Amino acid sequence: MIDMTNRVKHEMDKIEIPSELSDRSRKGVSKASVEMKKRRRLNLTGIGIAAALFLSFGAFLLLGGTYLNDAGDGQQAFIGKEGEGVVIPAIKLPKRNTADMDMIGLIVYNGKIYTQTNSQLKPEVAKTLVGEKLGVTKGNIDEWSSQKSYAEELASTISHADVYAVKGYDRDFRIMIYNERDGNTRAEFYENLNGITINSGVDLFGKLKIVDHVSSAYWRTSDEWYNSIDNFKPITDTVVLNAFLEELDYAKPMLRGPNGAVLDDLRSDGGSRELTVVLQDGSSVRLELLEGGYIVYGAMDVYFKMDEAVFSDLWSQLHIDY
Amino acid sequence: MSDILKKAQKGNEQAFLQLFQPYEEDLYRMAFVYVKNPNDALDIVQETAYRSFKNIRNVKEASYFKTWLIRIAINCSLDLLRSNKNTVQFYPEAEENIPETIPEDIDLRVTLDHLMNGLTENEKSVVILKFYEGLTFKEIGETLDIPLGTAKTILYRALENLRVELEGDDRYDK
Repeated sequence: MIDMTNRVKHEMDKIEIPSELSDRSRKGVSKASVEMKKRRRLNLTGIGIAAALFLSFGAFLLLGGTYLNDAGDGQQAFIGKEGEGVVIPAIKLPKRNTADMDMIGLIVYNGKIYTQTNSQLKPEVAKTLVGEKLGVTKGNIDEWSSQKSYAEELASTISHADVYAVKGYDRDFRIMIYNERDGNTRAEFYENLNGITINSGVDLFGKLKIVDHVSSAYWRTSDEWYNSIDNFKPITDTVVLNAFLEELDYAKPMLRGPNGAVLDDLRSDGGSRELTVVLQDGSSVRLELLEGGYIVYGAMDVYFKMDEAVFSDLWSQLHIDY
Repeated sequence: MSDILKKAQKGNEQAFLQLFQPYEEDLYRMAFVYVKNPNDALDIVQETAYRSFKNIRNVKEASYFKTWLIRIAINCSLDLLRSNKNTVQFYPEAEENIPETIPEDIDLRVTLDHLMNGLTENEKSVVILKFYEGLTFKEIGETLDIPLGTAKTILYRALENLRVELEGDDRYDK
């Protein structure tokens, strides 16, 4: 007597396996991979630009766990001498050909490297933020550029664009590109997030000028972000929101590089939330929040730990009632 | 496996394929029972690979990976049937009047044709998970997101239906 298990298995095994099965699996994975990479880039750039800061392989990703930590030849961020702040060395650009490296948009200005950022501005409000014109990007850096190219003022990995200071913001921290062409507006922030020391949250969030300038805020889950679902939910409790934003200034910086796995575990365990804060000037700042009081800003080489009580007040509002 | 899972969750395609490909034949055969043709079954495996890699971050433990894949493959199959405007049944409520113990070691001379054409979609799911994948009722319930009692009810009905069908076959043969 053949039992049911063996009989079903025997019958199922009669289904012939086509030779292209593995190839079809790979195709499915490949398609997902392309979309995931595209999604990550879009999150980092706001609008897709062909651009390139040459990071060592795997060195950037917005929410996924890699970061601007190895931009050139081994300049990892580190804890400062007093053990308090996190020092993010200035990006030194690669000495060698960079064709095998990953890419991000950058502009060289006043000896600093400004990279694409996690703050955005809508084209319709961009004009109001345009400050003094600083020049035009050269668009001269590509995968095969030598280090010399990077030393030039307004060298860039993005194509030619007019570069401006941003009204209301420190140009040592943030500049912008702005162009109108054929009825379309191209506007983006670039921020200098290297060659700095972060002693507390104010060293970043203070520069973003969030507190007292909030217009609205909304959030979505990491799954929604991951699957490109624009299911943004407003945050209506402004007391809790403002307390959270004020507390950002006091958040403790943490070294992101060696803690990548910790962040990944936090994402797996409690999920993460994407918090978008729209400011009165029309720009917006996107933060990733992780259960337990952690805050991540784009590809920056630090993340932050906030007072848990203040964080929890906001976190408890970021859930979906089924 | 958990190291490979972590790599896959960071977007490593090769690591993901290392996890996925040992199960692709099972997934193909399961899909085939639903859609009954190789082209659609291949589409389902491809779609399962696509959906699972995009959502691999949701897998909390490596030990759940296979049943998680099976669930995605079943959903893909049902989606395809829906898109072809075939009817897909809802799961019934658990019934009280089924035997406490369902005889699983019975010898029903089922054929592939019975599996494909003699069972409803949800009966196929439970029969395949029970006898082909060897899952417990608890695991079947978790995989299909149905109560354990419902899984038992479906299996009981499926076996009864197969029994009746086989008796009919026998009469016809005679």
